[in-house]
Amino acid sequence: MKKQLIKLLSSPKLFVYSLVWLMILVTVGTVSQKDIGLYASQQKYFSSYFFTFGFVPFPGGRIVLALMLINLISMMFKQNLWKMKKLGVIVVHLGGIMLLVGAGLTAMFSSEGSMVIEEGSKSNTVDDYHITELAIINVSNPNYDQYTIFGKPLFSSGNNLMHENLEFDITILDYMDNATLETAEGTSKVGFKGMLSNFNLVELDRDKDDMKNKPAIIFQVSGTFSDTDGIYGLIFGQSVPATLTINSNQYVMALQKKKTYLPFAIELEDFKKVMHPGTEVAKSYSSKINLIENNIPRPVLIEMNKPLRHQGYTFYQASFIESPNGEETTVLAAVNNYGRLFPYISSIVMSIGLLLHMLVSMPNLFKKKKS
Amino acid sequence: MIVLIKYNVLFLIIIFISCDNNKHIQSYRTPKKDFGLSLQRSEPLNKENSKITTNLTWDLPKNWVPSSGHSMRLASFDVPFSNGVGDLSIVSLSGSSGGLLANVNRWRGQVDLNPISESDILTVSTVGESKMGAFRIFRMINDSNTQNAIIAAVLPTGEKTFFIKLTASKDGIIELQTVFEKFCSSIGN
Repeated sequence: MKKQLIKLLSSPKLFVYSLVWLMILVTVGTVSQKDIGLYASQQKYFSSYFFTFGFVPFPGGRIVLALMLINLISMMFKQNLWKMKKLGVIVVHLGGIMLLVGAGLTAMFSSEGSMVIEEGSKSNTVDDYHITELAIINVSNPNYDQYTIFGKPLFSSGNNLMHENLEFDITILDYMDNATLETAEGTSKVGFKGMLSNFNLVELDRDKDDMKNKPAIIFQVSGTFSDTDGIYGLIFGQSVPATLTINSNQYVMALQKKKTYLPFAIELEDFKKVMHPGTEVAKSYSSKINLIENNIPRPVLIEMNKPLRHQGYTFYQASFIESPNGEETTVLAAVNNYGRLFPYISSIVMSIGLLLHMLVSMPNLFKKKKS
Repeated sequence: MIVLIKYNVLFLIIIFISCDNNKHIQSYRTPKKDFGLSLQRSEPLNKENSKITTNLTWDLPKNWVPSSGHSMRLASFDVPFSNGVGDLSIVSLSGSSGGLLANVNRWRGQVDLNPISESDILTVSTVGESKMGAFRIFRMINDSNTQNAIIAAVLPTGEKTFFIKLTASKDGIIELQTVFEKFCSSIGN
């Protein structure tokens, strides 16, 4: 059984079948972008272990790539591979493994988001473009805010969320990827608290452009044994904060994009935009910033094709906001990708491998010609 | 050697399959941030600053910015919401200023809604209570014109009628309705 499994996992056929399935995934994923949008398609076909088509489950991109990685590694254990004449093949396999390890690192640990900074102010937070989180913030302490964060994978209906920082329990009732508020005229709202006592959260079809989706969550607060217990709702970007007061503690609740706090800050000194003469079309944007680390500022200029790379993050000039009173705000795209260099390195390794294989095979080639 | 590689590789695979950077529960502290909680306090905010020549006072939400409006306006504010800024005006006119129905139908016309009859006017409004007496709120949203929507409060005080009108997109009006109602309730003299 064990031998059979190793034989199957190290079979070149498995690699070929996986490659064919990947091609099908790429085709289906590309076509489906038209209907469900780029991000949803990426998530469904490439960033998933399995996806369903109707009721039938199919392997997603991650499981196929993991199988290919296991297959390549298993091939390395084959006794007949470890020969001098197969040196090139070994190096090519190592290059392939490196490429897949890089893909794994990117899939698991990379992140991308935006950093919005007004002129004259500084920021050390990056808001993820897509991932949503529920933040319960205890604002009672005069010196700091205590955040307790629950990630989106915990938002299944019926899930109980508890934490030692909180004096209450949360039970998730519903999570919507895209929703809107409607007034609750004529609806009985007994037990509903906060915004939900006047409004209903109504689920909408997911927009193809994920940035336009406004996620919402409905949950039950219990365990305070007071009038505070009840059903609450939050929608992304609501201007009026939802609050809870229990004993002497005041909590703010928010559905927000996942925040990453950086060990350094960026201060926007000046934002400049140059327009094409006589038009409203921007020619170039640039942000003159101070990179503040250990309280030491370092001036840096971020331009459209000149990003700032620092501590694994790359900051690109992405956009800007101009208020009616002329105040300017820069929007930087912040990307953190640990696997960034792997495709380059693995391509070089594979090229060397192919070259080695050609060199090693060359004497045999000439021998055959002579004969 | 092979065994060593084997275990290293297995370790690597387990890491990839079991870990990711999306820690589902986290806890951390940050320096104090203004969450705009003053909006929800019952005590008047900026009461002195908001006192105007007509001796009206109100609790001004912290993120509302006074703006320059028409000369007929007692006060104007830029009212921010998630996707834009609404325009709030406070106007006072003597008496009933042409009647409630005429004013409501004028606003309805501004958002391409059909006029309503006198008998319907009470059914399309809600009632609130300010420090100067009861007011009536009208919400005018046209689903085929989502860029323009109005919520307005009419506060009759005998000699004068106060009109508090907020213009924004449909989403803006829906989002700001609670704050608008709270603001109207805080109006006094």
